[in-house]
Amino acid sequence: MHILPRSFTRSLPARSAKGKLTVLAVLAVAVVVAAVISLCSGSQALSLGQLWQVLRTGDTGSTTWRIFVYVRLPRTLACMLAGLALAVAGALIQGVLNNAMASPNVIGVNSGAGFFAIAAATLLPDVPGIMAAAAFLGALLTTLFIYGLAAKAGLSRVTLVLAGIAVSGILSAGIDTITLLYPDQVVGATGFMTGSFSGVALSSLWPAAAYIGAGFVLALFLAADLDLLQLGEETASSLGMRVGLVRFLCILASSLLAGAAVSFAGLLGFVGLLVPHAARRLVGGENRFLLPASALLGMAFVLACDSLGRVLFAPFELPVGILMSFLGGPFFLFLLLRQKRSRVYD
Amino acid sequence: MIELKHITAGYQGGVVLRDVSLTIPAGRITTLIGPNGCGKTTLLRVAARQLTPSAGQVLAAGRPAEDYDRREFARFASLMPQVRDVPAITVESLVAHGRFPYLGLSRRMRPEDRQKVAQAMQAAGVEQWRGRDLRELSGGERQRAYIAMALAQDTQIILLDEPTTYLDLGVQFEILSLLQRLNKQGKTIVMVLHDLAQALRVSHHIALMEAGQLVAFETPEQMFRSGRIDRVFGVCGHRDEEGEYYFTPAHK
Repeated sequence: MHILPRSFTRSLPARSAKGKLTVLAVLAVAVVVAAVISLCSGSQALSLGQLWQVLRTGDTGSTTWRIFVYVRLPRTLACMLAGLALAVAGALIQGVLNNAMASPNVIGVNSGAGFFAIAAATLLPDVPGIMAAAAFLGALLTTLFIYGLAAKAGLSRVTLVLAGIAVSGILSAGIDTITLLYPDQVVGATGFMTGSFSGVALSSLWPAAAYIGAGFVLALFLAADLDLLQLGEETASSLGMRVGLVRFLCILASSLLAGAAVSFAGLLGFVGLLVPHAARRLVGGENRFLLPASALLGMAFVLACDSLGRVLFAPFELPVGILMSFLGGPFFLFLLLRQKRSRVYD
Repeated sequence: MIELKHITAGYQGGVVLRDVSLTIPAGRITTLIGPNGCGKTTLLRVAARQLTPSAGQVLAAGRPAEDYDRREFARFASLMPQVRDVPAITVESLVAHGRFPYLGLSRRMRPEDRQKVAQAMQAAGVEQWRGRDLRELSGGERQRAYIAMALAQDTQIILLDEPTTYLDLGVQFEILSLLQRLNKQGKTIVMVLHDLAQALRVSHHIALMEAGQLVAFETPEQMFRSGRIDRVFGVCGHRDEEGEYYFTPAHK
């Protein structure tokens, strides 16, 4: 009956605050290790020695330097930013909707961000930073729409997921239409649809990094209020919290994060679903630990998947999105099956 | 003390309460009883400022409730709704949430907040479960944990919507005696109860409601003697030689 060990899905880890901080420190080390592996691996493998050499001498003319600055560094940073953003956005959305099966890709937020980003890049190609801004707007509108559905129609958790799939389908059709009508305008649309980091440039990361930074700071600021929201709307409100405002700010933060990630990484699925669950197993449901743990675990997870995708079938590269769908799909099925047995939020 | 003056309230156009006036005495246990759908929960929500009445006024300690800031009101009255989500947190974290109206923007607990949390856990008898997952507790244990949260909120008034529903009879008695003990320590208790005999036994005042209106507000003794409970609920009330109330079907 249990696909995963019971400890993975039930009961809180019996850890003190100090123990949770230790978990965070271990995760931080894992991120550093994964980042170094990501910098070193690829079609042209760089050794640690070469990497150190290039950083120490700063020889900007060498091939190694150019690979490092124009290929590896942007890619590693992109993995980290996307991992952090999507994982934290997932944790926020799961909290706001009080739905363990929700995540940016499941409820259609990624598709909304993608549709707006592609549309903006096609219609207004010359405006700088337009993709990140449009992706944020798309994510925000989609989340508000889904939240409105959940609140007004009183959708059950599973129905909400189905509504998200419907919304996702409509928006993906929109993306397909644009890429069909303007095939020349949309560069690398295939990579965009599955989610990929190949060919990411530093210049496209800066605006996204600003959005992600703002979203993450806002999310951390909201951690305690999000904890309170998990007690239910009426209890939170009777404790003096502005429930509507906090919900909106959480949705705003998750849209900043997910939208920005989609603007450079494409429709990367399942990070936002998988990582918060794993993080919750490690540090429990308190958001002041859960959000940083999700951020670190998200970074390490995306870095690892991307490195794996580069070396698995080398010299061919498996887009990271495909690898993640292989991992995330089964996990999502597991959550759906478990939903039958338990109604409590996990 | 909470004073409700000519309250009319409801949801999305449908009126549930019509012109209800009621003064809840300080330091007492007041219980709202009445058939399903008569507006008990709505009245409790209006008193807790969770529902804005369409007409009438709520006075909290003599001041209009709408003049209170949200947090200020949350330091005056706490509410335990009947339907609650059960989050994946420890008992201690839950109780600590009761301090929310006292925390600053950083949401950081001060030593006096921690002390209040410890006192609340002790008063509600949950300190032995402080590290346990809320979802793993029994219904009665969890109810105590929520009462501890209300105590950590440190309010004069605690409003509870059916605090004993779905609990085993023995556990119901435990919860009610805990509430009586808290009342003796000075808390004003306002609750909705379904069990009429228990309501008469533990309360100082009974508010009997029917079809969105207040029928009577009296002591249990007066309420029992008047026969109004029998009429409204269609039952027959009795009292045994030890003074305990019990109810049987009306046709007997």
